[in-house]
Amino acid sequence: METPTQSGSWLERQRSIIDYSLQSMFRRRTKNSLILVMYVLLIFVVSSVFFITGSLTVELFSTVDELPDITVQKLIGGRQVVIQESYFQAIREIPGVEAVEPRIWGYFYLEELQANFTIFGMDLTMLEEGEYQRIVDWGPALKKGEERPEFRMIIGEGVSRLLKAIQMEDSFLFFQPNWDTAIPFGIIGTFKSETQLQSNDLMVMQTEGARRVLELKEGEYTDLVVHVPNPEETKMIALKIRRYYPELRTVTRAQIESTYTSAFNWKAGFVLSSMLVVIFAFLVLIWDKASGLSPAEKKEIGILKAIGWDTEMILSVKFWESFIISLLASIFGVILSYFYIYWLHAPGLKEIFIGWSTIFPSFDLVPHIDLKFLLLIVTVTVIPYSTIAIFPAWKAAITDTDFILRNN
Amino acid sequence: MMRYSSKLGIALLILMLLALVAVVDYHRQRAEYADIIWMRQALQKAVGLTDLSITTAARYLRHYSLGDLTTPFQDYPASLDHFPAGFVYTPPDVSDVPKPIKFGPLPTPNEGK
Repeated sequence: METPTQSGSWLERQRSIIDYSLQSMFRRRTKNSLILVMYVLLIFVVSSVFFITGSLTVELFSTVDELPDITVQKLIGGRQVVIQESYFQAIREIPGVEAVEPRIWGYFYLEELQANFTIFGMDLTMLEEGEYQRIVDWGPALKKGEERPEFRMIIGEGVSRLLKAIQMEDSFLFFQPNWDTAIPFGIIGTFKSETQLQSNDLMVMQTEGARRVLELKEGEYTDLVVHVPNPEETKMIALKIRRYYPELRTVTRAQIESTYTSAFNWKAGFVLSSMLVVIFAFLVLIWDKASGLSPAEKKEIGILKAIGWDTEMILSVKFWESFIISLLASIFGVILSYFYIYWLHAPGLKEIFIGWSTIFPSFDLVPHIDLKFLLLIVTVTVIPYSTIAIFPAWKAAITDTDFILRNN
Repeated sequence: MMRYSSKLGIALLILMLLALVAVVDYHRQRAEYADIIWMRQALQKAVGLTDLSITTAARYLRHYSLGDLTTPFQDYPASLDHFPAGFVYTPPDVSDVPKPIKFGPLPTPNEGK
C-alpha cells in the first residue's frame, strides 16, 4: 500500500504541529502557566547569580596587574601585628628584590555611625601630580596656613556621603579615647565615583596623619610591599622571606589571583541555598511530568493514534510543547535577570553581598556575560526538561491504542 | 482568526526585541568601561590596597585576600562567622600562613645566600 501523501512542505507540517501543541497547552493552561512561572523563576535566579558573581569577579581581576608583587605581614599567634623597620634591610638584600616599601594602613571604626573606614597612609602629593590627578574630584583649596599638611586626606564617595550627613564634609574630627584633644583632618578631595568599588570606604591621608590616627609608633608599620621585577622569581623570594623569618607571612600576587578566582565561587553556599526552594519545586514538577501522563493526556494520545497519527508525530507534538515552554522561559528569565542586575542594581540580592556595612557602593556593576554561563543554564534546564517530557509520551504512544482507550 | 503559531511568533519577536535592547545596552556599558577601568587601575597603582569595598562589615571581608586563619573567629575560638557577607565569600587561601610548630634549628638569614 502506498503511504498517504503528506500535504504541504516540512515547514508547513511542523507549523501545523506547533499549532496543535499550543492548542493543547492552552487547554491545560493552569498547569502549563504554573510550569512556565516556575521555569522563568529558576532561570532568573540562576542567571542573576551568575551575572552578579561574574561581574564582581571581573571587577576583582580588573586591577590585579597593579597589585603588589609580595605583601609581607608579621604574625604572632596567628594574628597580624605591626612589623618593625628592622626587617626592611634584610629583605632588600635578598637577590632579585628591587625595593621594599613599608605601608601604614588600618581601620577606623566610628561608633556613632557604626561605620568602618579603611585608613591608608601615603604621600598625598603623589596624587596631586600627573595622571593621578584625574582619579580625584579636588575640593576647594584649603586656606593657606589653616590646615597642617600632615592632617589632610582624600576620601571615598561612601565616606563623603556619610560625613555629609553629620556635616563634616570639609573637615573630619578624629578622636581616640586616649587622646586629649580631637584632631581635625582637612578633606582635600573625593575619589571619583568610577573608582567606587575600590575607594568607597577609603580615607587616604598623609603618612604622618595615618600614623597618628592608627597610633603606630615610629619605626612600626602595618605591612611591607616587596617589588620583584621578574615574576618568575616572586615565588622563590616569598619562600626565602618565610624561611629566614618564620614569623612573617607572604602573600604573592599569584595567591591573590587564585583567591579571587574562587572568591565568589557559586558553590559558596548562599547561591545554592537561595535556589534550593526553586530547584526543589522544579524537580517536583519534572518528577510529575516524568512519572506519567494524566489520564486525559493518555486518552488524547490514544485518540490521535486511533485517527491515524503515527508515533513520530505524537512525539513531535510533545517535543514542541516542552521546547516552547523551555525557550520562552529561558529567554524571558535571562532578559529579566539582565535588567534586574544591571538596570535595577540587584535590589535584594546585593544586600547579601554588602552584609551589614554602613558604607556601601552603589553596585553599579559593569555587565559581564560569559557565553559559557548561558550555555550552562540551557544545558541544566532546557535539555533535561525536554527529554523528560518526551519519555512518558513515547511510552503512551507505543502502547496499543485499544488498551489505552479501554483503560481510561 | 490568527493561528496559534503566529501568536507564538509575535511573542518570540517581542522577546527578541527585549533581548536586542539588552545586547545594545551591554555594548554601550562595556564601551564606557574602558575609562572606568583606567581610573581603577590608577587608584590601585597609587594606593595599592587589595579587594573591592563592597562590604565593610568586617576587616577580613573588606580585605579578604589578606585575611588570615583566625580572623573569622575573632570573638572566641571556633565562633561562627555572623556577618551575612561572610556567607558569600569562600574562605581565603591561607596555605602560606606559617605553621606554628617547628622542629630543629630555625633557618638563619644567611642560609642559602
